[in-house]
Amino acid sequence: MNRKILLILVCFITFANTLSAQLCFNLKLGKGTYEMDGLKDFNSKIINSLPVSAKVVDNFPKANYWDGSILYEYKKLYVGVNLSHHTTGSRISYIDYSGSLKYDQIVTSNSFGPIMKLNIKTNSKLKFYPYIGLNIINTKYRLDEELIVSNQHSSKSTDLDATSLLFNLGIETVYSFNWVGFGFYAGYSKNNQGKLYLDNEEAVLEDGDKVYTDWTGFRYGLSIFFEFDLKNCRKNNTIISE
Amino acid sequence: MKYIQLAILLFTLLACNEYNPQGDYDVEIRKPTNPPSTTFNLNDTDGPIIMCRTMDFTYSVSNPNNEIFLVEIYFNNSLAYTTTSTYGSFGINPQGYANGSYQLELKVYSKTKSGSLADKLNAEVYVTSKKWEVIVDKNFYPVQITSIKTGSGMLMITWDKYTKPDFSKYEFYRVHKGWTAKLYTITDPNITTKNDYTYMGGQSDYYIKTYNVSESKVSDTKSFVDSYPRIVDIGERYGMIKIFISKLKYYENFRYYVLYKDNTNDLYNRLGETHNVNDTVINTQSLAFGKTYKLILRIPDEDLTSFMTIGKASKTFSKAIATESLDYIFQMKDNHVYRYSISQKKAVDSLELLNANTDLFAASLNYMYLSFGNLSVLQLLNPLDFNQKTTFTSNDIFGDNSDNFKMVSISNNGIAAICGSKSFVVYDLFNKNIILKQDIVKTFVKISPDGKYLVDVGNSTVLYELNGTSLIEIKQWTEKLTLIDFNPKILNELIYYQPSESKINKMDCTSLSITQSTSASPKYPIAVDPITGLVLHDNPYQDEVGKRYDVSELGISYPLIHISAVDMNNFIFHNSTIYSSMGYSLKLTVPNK
Repeated sequence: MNRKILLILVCFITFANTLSAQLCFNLKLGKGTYEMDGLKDFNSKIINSLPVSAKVVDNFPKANYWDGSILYEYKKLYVGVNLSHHTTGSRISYIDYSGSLKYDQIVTSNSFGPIMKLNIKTNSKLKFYPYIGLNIINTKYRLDEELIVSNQHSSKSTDLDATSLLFNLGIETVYSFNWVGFGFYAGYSKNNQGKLYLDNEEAVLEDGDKVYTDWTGFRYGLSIFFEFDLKNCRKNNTIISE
Repeated sequence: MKYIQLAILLFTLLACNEYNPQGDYDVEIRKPTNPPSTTFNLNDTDGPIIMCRTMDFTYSVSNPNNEIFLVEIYFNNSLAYTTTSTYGSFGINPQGYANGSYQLELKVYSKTKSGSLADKLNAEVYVTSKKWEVIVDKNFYPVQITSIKTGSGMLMITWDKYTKPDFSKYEFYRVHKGWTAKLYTITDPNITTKNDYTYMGGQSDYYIKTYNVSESKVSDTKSFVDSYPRIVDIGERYGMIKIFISKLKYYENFRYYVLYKDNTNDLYNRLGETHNVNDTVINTQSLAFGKTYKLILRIPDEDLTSFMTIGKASKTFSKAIATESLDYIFQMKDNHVYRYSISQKKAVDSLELLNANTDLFAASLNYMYLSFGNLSVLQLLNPLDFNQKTTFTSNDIFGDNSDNFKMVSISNNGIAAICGSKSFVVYDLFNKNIILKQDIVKTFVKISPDGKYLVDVGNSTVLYELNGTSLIEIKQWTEKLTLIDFNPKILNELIYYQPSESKINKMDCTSLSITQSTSASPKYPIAVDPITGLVLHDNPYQDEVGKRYDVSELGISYPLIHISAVDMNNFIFHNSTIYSSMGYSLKLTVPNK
């Protein structure tokens, strides 16, 4: 999947390079909250099936995520592609003198899709960009089970994946210093719940329920905004190389 | 362009980042320490188990607080059987094991119930075990006859017990004059004694054939030689002396009995004879004490001879009582109480009486206490040691110094029924406390050996059950029963003579069922033995020798006549022997059946 995204990215840059005068890179470092109701239910079922009273000690908390966009500026409108990377997880734990058991659910996703921003305050160094985007989100899910009793250790990992759509909406404010700007943003992402698959087979629990990932939640954080005049860049590069 | 490439590289690296869940839930659970107390049972034995062939073992294991979930059985340190059941059975085949001692171990796995993860996953268990010695002995040894003894009109043959579990049966054989008879087949290995009631004398060879489940083996032959039949009694009726001979049940070559006086075969001393095998009485004209009489059973090849001497009793008992299980008769004489040993034929202990008015009241029938006293003092003696005595005043028992002791009956557990001149008291001699007291006068009371029942004989007779501190009436007779006593060897059996029916009865006090004499019907009963039910009754016929007494047994006609020298009006029964207790008397031996 990452290769495909990279290929599309390279194509976009090449395309933008030939057409645009202004190319922007927007990198976001932020926190995201994730609903993950399906996986939380799954944790409850795991606990109920255990012979001891285990607890969920980590329950899909808000976690750091990364988001990068390449945008082409046309008048006040920025259009481009967006890539983002999210990860979160949970843990069921039980430890006593005789041993321990642990169930870790780790979900990691990479998403890719078009994004559009609108510069609503062009004549100032402080700029505001409402943005909207729609990403295809590919989720990797892994369940790590570990049981230690006395000196016996056993562990097992199960990998599944899911694909779904992620709709992003938010606003970003940036203060520009010449070609670089710093700012922060806040937004909300809505995910249409991705069914998990194991070897192309839909994952179904023993009781018949299906398990979903759901990346829906708020996003906020810091952003860095780079604006390049590509023609000048090429020129500059030529001068440097000469 | 380098910046773009750098950004792509950075993004790619960041895209590999993955969340690492954090945190642990640490639960505090106490580690179990003491293993449970487990009860093991294997074939109901702790001792060595003998195994001769494939053997079924029955086991059960339990512990009160823990849950057993696995039982393993190891034989000779190898796992032989595994089960999850706490009881059941398994078989072990000793084939492939040489004779010798092996170990069988029951190993029990039970949950600790600590609640820990390991406990829940059955990975934490208590292991307890018990070992038994198993002796593999595939050889087969027959049992051997150990002794042959004469009994009352029979032979008692005893042999070793077959102790191995593959027992099937014993067969008990007698060979007499080349003729073999199987006398018994015995399927209970614990029976190691049998009687030969048909032994008639001469040489008989006995052997036991022991069968296990697959084969049989014969013991060595053991021989026995004796002269039979025997003179069992001598009596007199209608002026004719009768010699009673043990009843022949079987004899193939019987010819006749012949009776001689003075151990001779002299024709002059020949008293009489009978040619009828079923006739066990020989009549003769004269008889004398101190003489020996010889009876010969004549058969073609040999004469079987037995002798009997008529003797006189050497001891007189006056004011005497006896305990059934002891060798002693206790009697009052010359202001002393004596302990007279029957076997030693002499007094072995004595104690001076309190005063001249002292009387002997009761002896508990087994071994407990002998009581005697005068009107105001009751003294208890240990029959085996006269130095052990306890004295009670009438105030101790009745709570009244003016009351007097009239009659006492003692149970084997020390409960005394005490009749006073004013009141009646049931008293615990061990704990020295009054169980009940009634301000009524009873004249004759007997308490059962276990202290549960009490019979009160007055104008009418009432049987009570002693329930705690009260008497519950369970049966009443409208007449005065006589010769009443409890059987000391059968629990709660009352023996009594019922004058209105001229019957001797045995009654179970629990069910009130009655066994009645069918043929004895004594008209003049004067004593009854509580153990055997033997009744001594006065015979109305008189002769120059003295009074005569019949002895009959409850339910069985036993018309033998004994001769007594003088009048006898008081008797002691002791181990089926009747002792007269008044004046000059004979020792009367109850004849064998």
